[in-house]
Amino acid sequence: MTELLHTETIPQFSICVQCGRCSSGCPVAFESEDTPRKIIRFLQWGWLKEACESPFLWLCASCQVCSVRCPRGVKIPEIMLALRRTAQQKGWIMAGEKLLFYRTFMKMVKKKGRISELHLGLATALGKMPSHPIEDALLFLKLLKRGKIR
Amino acid sequence: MEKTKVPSKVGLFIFDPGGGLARAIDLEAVLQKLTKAKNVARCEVIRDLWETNFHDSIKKDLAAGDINRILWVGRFSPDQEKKIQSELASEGLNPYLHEWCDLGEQGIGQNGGDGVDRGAETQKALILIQMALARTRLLEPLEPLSLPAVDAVLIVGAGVAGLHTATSFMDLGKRVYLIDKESGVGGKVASLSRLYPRICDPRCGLEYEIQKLKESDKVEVHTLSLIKSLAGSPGNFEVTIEKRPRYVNEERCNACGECMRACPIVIPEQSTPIPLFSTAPALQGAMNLLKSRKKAIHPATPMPYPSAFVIDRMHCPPECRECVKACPTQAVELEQSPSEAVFRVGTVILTTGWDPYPLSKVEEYGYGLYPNVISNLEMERLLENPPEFRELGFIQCAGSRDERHLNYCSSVCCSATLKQVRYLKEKAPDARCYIFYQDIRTPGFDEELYQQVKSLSDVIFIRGNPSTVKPEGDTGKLRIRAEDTLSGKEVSLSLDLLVLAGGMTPSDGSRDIAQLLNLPQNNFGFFESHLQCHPEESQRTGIYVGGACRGPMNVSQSIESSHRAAMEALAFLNETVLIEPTYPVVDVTKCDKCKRCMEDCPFTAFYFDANGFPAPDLAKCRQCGNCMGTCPIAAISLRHFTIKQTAARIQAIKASFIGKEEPVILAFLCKNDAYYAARSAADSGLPIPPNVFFIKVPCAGSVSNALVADAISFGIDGILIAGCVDGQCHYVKGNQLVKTRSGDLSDKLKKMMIEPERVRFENLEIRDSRRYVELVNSYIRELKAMGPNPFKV
Repeated sequence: MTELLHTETIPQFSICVQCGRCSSGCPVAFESEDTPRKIIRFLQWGWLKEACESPFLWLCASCQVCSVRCPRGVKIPEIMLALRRTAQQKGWIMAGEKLLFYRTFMKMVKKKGRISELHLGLATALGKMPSHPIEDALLFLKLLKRGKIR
Repeated sequence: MEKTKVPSKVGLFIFDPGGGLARAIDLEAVLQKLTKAKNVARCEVIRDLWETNFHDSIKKDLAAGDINRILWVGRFSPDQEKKIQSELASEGLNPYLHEWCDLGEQGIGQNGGDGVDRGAETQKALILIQMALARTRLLEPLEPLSLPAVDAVLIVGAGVAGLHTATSFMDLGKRVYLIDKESGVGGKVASLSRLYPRICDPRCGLEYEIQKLKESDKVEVHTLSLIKSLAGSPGNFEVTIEKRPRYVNEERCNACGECMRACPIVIPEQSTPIPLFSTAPALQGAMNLLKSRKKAIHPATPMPYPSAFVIDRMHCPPECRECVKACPTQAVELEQSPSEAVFRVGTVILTTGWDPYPLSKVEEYGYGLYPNVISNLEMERLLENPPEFRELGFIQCAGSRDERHLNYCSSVCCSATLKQVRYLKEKAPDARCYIFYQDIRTPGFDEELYQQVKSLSDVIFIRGNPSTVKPEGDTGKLRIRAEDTLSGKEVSLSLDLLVLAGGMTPSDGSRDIAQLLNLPQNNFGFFESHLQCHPEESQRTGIYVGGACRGPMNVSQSIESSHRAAMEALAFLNETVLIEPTYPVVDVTKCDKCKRCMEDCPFTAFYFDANGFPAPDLAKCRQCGNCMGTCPIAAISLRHFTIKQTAARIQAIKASFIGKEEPVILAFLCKNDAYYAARSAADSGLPIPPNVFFIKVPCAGSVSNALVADAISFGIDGILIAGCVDGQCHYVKGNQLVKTRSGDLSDKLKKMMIEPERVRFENLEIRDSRRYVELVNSYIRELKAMGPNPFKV
């Protein structure tokens, strides 16, 4: 397991002291049962599968707040990225529909070499059952009006 | 000093009580050879060391001048050596004219003679005795020196450590100069509210010490003073201090306080945080408490001793003379200018203390931004009159154990916070305290404090540190979010006051003094010392460091530490300083003033003498011999361990004594650990190959490249230099010095067309006896593969 992560040149997660600064600053941790600290803790135990199966992986926005606050200099977003790749390779993915966005994104990049926000948004929204269809539609109109979607 | 040279007449005594040596080697043959050796006047095997006839005969020979040096071969205990030395000293034989040659520690006769080539052993023993004999011929009588010393001490920093140490010296009858840069004594501890573990008032203890100082005529306190320069050597330092003006005559002022009433200027003691939003009434009260109402003329701070007032002229309007007019004793002297004073002291103790880490650097917690985020030191002041706070937060390790700030644990903040919570709960039982922590570190008996606080109601420990602090609207409260890592749940709290437990850093004064006196500091800026063996010795002889300038510590530890420093300093506080006569001597006829010795001396003991030659300050010198090792032209010798003596020993080795193909190794072993490793290897019967001879040296750094080149040119195949593990050297850096010199050496060897691999450096610990033997054996194999030294005949 460690080899898997080390080959990806991941800074050592073993130096983490579990102070919880990463989780308390994380803007998306409230969405998930797991927090960045817990994911690191799983890795310290060697529970790679648990770490990969955590839905939190797919929530991380790589905003870097955690690594800025970390007193030990653990590069948490990099670990998250490595775990996402590992999860893909090993098929340890629990939150299937969360992947839809990433898959659509990559498909577009491969096909056209660039991203069309309109297409990406529509494809992701239609690819699954939208949970708030009306709100989403209103948001879409708003964004369109302000020229955020071209 | 000119004396007619008396030729050496060596009495050589081989002590073989059980006949073990005679079994291991051909003693008769050895004796025959030695009897004919140059300068040997008498050569015997002795069975009983304390036989009266034997002693009488030595004494007779000494009296008649038939022998004037003695070489003792065999194993002697230190007690025996001492007894022999003192007994013969009364017969006029200088203790430095004895030479001790232990064949056993070199591996002779230690493994019962099984599978050992007796001929080789005999040869090795003979060579070893001849080596010792070569040195014995060159021994000189030496007398210890005693230098005059002053029995006064300078203590820099009149905080809790400095005050306690000063009174202890006072009790010992020593004269003490105590200086501090503040206007009064007491240091940081005077500003604390309570001390753990007894929750007592720190001023009580300080007041007691100050009272003692007041009554003594042995102590001179100089406040508003800084060291300007330090000259001279241990035992005889000359210190110049610079005194800032007090603007109040210390003799005239009777501290009546009239001036303070008249003074129109109120000065802020520190910059208070700027309130960004409307403040709650409780908070307002707290802020008022934190603000000081100090006038420009005020009693000495932190504690009013000396009792004379002091003026902070920074804040005075230029023309104001209110205090002058008000003073009934005409004590105010606004024309005072800085002055200097010079003392002569034997030793210096630095108790320059600590400063709090600037918490505004820990940006995420908003210190300096929000008025109700305060430091733990400010909390100490609030504790005396705690305003009515309902919800308080304490963040531990604010900036500590953090690679972005202080990458160490300040070791006192946990206990300090617990103390604050305990004391606060006594005064305000309704307050709810939340303590955010990473680990609670309460070493030793501080655990009791932890348990006491744990048992209080409404004290909640949250294992997890918050990442940010935000104001909560305009309520004047703070919103804090953290993960309780034990339950994995997020907690979100609204707090009235947040206390940050900031860490300890070396004080600015410590840094300045380190620069002024050229004292080494560690990575964090605290004074460097040999933590395991001499924790209070700075690496400059005669200057000791105690208390929190050496590392984070609590009050009782810093008093302990400064007293330990005082204990070591006492050696320089007698009428005389005794110097062992084994100090280094510079041969000025050879010296080319390259100053290498000055640079490499770990204790900066060298100075320029009247003719511009480097000379060791004997009081500063620790006699490690690194100067001898570093001198490129071998102009420096430790007395009793001179280059000449060692060269003679090396010359006595016959490099082909076991055949030209068998490599011979000469090892230089540091007497502090590598030597013990080799000796215990022999004593525990490990098979020591006959190929290796070792010479005990004071420090690996004292091995001169000239000696190594000598040994190679005499045909010795390999040289092994073994010193301490890095960072453990008793002389700071001897083992590193020898490694840095290896570059020069390999150049030299290449010029001689010799493989640089013929010289090896190793680190050996005191119990590495097995490794020593393995090392020697593997080196022998390597050297065999390399082929014999081309200089070998």
